[in-house]
Amino acid sequence: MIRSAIQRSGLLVGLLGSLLLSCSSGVKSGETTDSVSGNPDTNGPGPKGSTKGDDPGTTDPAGNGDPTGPSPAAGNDPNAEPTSQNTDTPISEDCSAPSPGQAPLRRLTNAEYVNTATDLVGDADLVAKVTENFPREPTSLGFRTSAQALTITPLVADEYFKAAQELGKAAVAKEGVVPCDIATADPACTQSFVEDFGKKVYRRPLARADLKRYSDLFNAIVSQTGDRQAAFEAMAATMFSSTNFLFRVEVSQPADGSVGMPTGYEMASRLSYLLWQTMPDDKLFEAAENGDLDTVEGIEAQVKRMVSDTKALRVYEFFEQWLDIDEAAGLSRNETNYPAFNPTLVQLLQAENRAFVYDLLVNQGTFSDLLAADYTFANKSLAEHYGLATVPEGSKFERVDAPDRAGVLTQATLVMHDRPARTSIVKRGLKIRTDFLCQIVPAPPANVDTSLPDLDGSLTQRERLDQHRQQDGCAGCHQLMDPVGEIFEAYDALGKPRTKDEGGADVVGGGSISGTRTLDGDYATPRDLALAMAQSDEVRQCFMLQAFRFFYGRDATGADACTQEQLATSFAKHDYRVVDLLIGLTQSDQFLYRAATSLDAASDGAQP
Amino acid sequence: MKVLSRRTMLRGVGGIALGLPLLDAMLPRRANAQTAAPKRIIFEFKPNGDQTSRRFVSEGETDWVFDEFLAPLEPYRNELLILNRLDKRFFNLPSEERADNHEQGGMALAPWPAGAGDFPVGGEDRTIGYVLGPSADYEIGERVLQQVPALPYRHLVYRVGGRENNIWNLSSHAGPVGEKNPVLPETDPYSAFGRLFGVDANDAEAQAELQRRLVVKQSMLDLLTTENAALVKQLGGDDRRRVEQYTDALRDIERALQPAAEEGACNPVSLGDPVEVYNDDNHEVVGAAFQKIIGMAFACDLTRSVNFNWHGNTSNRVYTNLGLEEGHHDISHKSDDEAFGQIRMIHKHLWTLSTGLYDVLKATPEGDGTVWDNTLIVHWNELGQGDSHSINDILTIFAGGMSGYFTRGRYLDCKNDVGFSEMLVSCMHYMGFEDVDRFGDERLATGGPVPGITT
Repeated sequence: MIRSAIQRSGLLVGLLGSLLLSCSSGVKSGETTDSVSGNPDTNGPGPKGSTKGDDPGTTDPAGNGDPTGPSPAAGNDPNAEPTSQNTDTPISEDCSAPSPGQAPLRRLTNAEYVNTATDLVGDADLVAKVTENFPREPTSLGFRTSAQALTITPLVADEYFKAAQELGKAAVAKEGVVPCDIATADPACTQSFVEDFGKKVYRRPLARADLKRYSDLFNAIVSQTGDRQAAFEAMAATMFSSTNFLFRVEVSQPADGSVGMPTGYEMASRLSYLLWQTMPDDKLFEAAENGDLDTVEGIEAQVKRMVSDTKALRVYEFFEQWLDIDEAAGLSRNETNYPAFNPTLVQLLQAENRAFVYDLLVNQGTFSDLLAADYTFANKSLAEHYGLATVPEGSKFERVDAPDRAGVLTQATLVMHDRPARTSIVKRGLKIRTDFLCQIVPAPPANVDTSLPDLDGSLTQRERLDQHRQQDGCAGCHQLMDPVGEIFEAYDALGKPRTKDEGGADVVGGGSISGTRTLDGDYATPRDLALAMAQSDEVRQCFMLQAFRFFYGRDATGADACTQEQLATSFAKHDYRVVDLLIGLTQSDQFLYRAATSLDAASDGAQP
Repeated sequence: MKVLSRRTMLRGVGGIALGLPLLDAMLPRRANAQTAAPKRIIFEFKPNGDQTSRRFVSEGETDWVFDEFLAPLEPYRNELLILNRLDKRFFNLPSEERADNHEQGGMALAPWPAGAGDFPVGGEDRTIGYVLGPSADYEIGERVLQQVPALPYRHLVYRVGGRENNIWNLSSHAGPVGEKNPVLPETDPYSAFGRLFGVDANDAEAQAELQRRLVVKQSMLDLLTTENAALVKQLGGDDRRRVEQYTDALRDIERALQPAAEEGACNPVSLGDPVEVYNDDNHEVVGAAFQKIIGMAFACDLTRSVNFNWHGNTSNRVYTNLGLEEGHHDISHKSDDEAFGQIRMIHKHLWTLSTGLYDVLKATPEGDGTVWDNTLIVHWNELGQGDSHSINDILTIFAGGMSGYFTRGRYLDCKNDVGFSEMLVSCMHYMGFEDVDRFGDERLATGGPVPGITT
């Protein structure tokens, strides 16, 4: 198997250093919802992987409760079981033959566009400028990588078209891109430019029809305007506007049968976008050209090389979106309860998470470390904010002991959905439920009075919620969220340990979790819960499902059983090292193979 | 879909490689505008519901009295048609076809079932997802384009607030029926201004350069659409649709290549020094900038349909400018007096800002009157009331001259007997599409317009 050749040593080692302090460019603005960024499926109301059969007509458990109808809200059922989001371990599939699921056409994400354009024109500042108004990709299942949601609407097209013209100019002006003096360019020079630069932009050699189109474009512009410079710039700009640049186009069909490997060039892009979030480099192009990517061994060799490159740290974006760290820019806290809040502190929280995940990737950290590490990364300011025993000097982030904390669970993700004036027990619980357990939670029932009348104003949030759960309409769902969120009450809305809550009352620590396959029980501290989660197959499966969604650009379906099993097997075999999950993603049937495309116009190409 | 023929464009451009006056002949819409001012529509959204019992002190058909948070509308009362208590009827859909009230309420311009697959909270044993059909602003824009193919923009979609796009805060959808296809809003008015009015139409040199570039752009678009046409033959259904959608977007670019021809009131003026768009403190300035752009876009006849949002659906903006410390959405979940007091404060603030749009349109001359005379502004909300998440009791207010089509200075209590979708049918009739009898899924739309509101 491929895996065996991936050496433990050397992966990303020594790449940390100054990278740790670089802040994310993905700034989000202030708009938030009451929802955690979530997760599940795709493809509309089609078949789902693992959910129970619907039984409409007996209940109205969405909790939306028809205000005029008789149906009880599902939330009323105190024994409500959360539904799982496609995490059930697939078994009894015959995976002896490759069985990839659907591989949808994927538009570049904004980050991928930026990285790719920078590789092509070399001017990161220019690229940042021309892409700054790209609309934010619609979120689906908590991620901005969903192929289905990554469409080119008119506004997006407009932005792309504008950016392409700037990039086209920059490309033509770049040393060596046009192999002659444009003023006197002969057809051979023009063709050479189209072939060489076009191959990089299209991520494959141009076909004869492609070359003809560019030749026609060139001639049309020169004949109408006499401006050869404009014609070259237009050719480059057109490449940057091409579907072949904006999407990761895969059109190869298996030579025989229904499953085959993608072409070498298609595979080069699969590799580079999964591990580097950008276009293939020269070595990948070379490997594609030589046929090295037509074999599993050849792919393995490239993966080994690629994970040792700093560009592989870009997979951090998965963690950032999964943990909602990318929403940090919208955080606000009121001055009364949180005088320590300021934008710099938010950046420190982001930087902590980034440094922590980078370290896991570089130093073979495990899933257990991810959730339950008894250390974190901090600089002086953050260590003081957290009240850590060890306080580094200066602004550089260093690994420091944090024996009471618990990996990412007590980092910025914890506070991302808290309220301006206080922690949110409900939303913290919901985050664990949906994003770490991959469960589905029904909405609050309609027309239910969510206020808690006649309550003593001095009650704590926890006490109020306890009373809340005495109400029929609220009990079922809140039982899923509140007791979990309560476990985290010992941390305030800026992630700092506390013994008194915002109202000055003593914090009652501890809570419980129910409705799970592996975790049900009481937990005194976040760390206790984290240690259990870190050993839970259920939580690991959810993590793998989240990675599947982010990296493959869609939700898992029943057709992905073999790939999911391969991911699970590989992850387990490598002691649940986080970087090995990423490598595993390049070794699955989904990644290595490609199913034949039905070209029947009537086919919707959706579910197998 | 008809678009301005590329050949017509090129023919027009052919002689001007040297810079030339515009292709008036290609733009009959401008001439038409002289004879009859076009009708326009603006859907203006506010999130999180309000307080249903505190909208009006008394509810007489002509002598109604606004309560405090609607008081900013009092000076305009004779130019309003108030449709109180419309029902969005989403509970007519079975639970496996609908989302939670927030999403369903916020996408009510598109009265279709909700898809799945985008969010894990809110469905019954299923995830919920973007709505499966077009919204009224898109549908109207598309129908206008079929009549006036040279109109540069089908619709304009603007949102004050953050950049994040999710199943809650996208109220415009392109469809077609059965498909998820959210339309992303523009959130930066300075960028939006540049897109519509990028070239100063009084700058002859810039215009000449633009015409020269038109040749280039047209050639580029030609290659791209040809390439896509070849490519889609190699793609399966969903993939093919995504590429075809890009082709359609390229045609939109082609249509909008012409700059605004300045005549009459079409005289785009700068928005002033830009402020930080995503700084929450600037939301009033950003909102006002979008209002100005809408006025200019109408004056220049760049579009006839606008979808404008005061922050997204379920906005949790903290109105620190009003002295509040909790987010709007969090407050809206509560039922106590203090919370409702804050909700009223927020809505009074937003309604005050809404009237800024009235003032812009009233200040934009057109023919013998103003753009206001031929505009219908539809104020709508995600919910009836936030604490109960009600999707009935929706307050909808029509404002504007409305081309004299609707009766004005009038209050109607629709008592939840009238659907939101019927209101949208009335809007389509106003825009001249009287063939529309139903808009939306038949379980949500009983058919026909709101009865008894036209003149």
